[in-house]
Amino acid sequence: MSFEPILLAPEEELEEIYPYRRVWRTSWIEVSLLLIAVLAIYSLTTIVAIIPADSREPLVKAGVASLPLALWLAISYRGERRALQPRPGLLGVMVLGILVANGVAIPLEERVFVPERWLPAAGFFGRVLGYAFTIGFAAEFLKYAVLRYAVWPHRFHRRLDAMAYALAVSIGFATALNFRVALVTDATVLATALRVASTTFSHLAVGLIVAYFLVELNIGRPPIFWISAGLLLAALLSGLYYGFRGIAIVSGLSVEGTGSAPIRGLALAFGFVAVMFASIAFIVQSADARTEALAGGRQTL
Amino acid sequence: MTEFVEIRESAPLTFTQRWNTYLAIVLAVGVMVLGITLRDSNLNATVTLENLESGVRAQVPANWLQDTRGEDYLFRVRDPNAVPFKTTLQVSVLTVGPDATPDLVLNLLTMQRSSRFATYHEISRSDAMLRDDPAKRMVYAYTEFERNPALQSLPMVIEGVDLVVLQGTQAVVVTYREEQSAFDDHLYRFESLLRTLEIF
Repeated sequence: MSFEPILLAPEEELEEIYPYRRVWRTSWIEVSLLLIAVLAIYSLTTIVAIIPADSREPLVKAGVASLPLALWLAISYRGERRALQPRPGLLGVMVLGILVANGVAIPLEERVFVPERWLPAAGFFGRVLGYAFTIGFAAEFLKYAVLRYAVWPHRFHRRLDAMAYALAVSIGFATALNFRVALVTDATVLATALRVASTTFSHLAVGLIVAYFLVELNIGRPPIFWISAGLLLAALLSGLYYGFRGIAIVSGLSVEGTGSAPIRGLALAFGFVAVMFASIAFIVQSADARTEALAGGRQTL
Repeated sequence: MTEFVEIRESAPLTFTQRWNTYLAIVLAVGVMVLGITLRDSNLNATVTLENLESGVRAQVPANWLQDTRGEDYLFRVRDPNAVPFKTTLQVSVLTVGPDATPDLVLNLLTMQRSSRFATYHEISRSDAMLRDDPAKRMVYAYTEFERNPALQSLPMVIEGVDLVVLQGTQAVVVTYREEQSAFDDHLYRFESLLRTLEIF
């Protein structure tokens, strides 16, 4: 007489439903697609030569300038709408980003700071500090003001909420600057594409810093100069990016001539946003784990 | 079915949150002032240019292209970043006779330039002072064509101003030239040059 073993299926563990849009995943996709698009324009211009090197078609340039916004709408915003618990007011924050950039940042740059008349001639540290304390700080303060007075603190429930809103305002801000480059300047299609990628990547990267400082002000107990420190850090980072970008795109003097290396500028911009995304994601994850541990939700090593 | 309801918290801000907001605004004002100071110190930074042989010394904008080897001027500085016309400041010295007046020097300059510059014409002439010395000021305009045919640009209207002051048998001519639409905006450069000009 034999007994067949009775096999019991393990109890099925229900996967916890994550009701929010995954901010980092969608942002990585957007950044990667923008990089691919700009690399394609670069290849079509310099290698395959389908796009004339001196092409300045305004419609094409406007299309290139609108690419980051289109990607954000198609990926992040669509993802948000399809999430179980969408973050409200994201589109409004993006529009406010466009408005403050167009209404305040651009006039400040063109009429007050006029950086093109004095920054290029300054040395490395002069460029870093000069940019940080003019254009860099103004941009970060305006993005902070949008977040602070439009969605903080009632929409900042989790740290990732702050990141989602910061990326929205940064995309709006960068879009206004991108359209100015495309429609006001005499840049070629390739130069516009490279500038659009550089501007968008740098604003996405630096915009996260102020958002992190803002959400910690909501969740934690930071000192009274917390936001000021965050603003200065963000401005300084944007100044450093500007300084290194100048070094990266100038290929130096040689017997064959002088010239620029725009692809190195693109690589720097992508490297910058990649490092910032990875760093802030790590910091947010660590802070969330620490908060949960302190609340007794789970033990961490 | 799960329904998410947004609860808008109306709790007042804490002391820390309020003071963070105030300090951010104070910082913004402070950085704005610092930024404008940085801009001004860079834009208005000057270097000394002098010609000991002719006894002329002046402060000219730093980072501008300096030329001290011209035939018809002691020194000339040009803004390399100015578009479409390189803003120009220039000091030249002419040897004149004992009966010369600033008006005669300006007449001579007008005659010379009429053949050199297209559509050159004088706009105005007025009395002026350079420190304690009487001087004459003349505003004029001409058109300049882009020399590079590949650029295919329209002619530019250049506006200029000369100030002539006599020192013994020398006439010192201080000149400022700029594209007509930016002439007034950058006229302060010329005034700064005049304020710092030393003739010894």
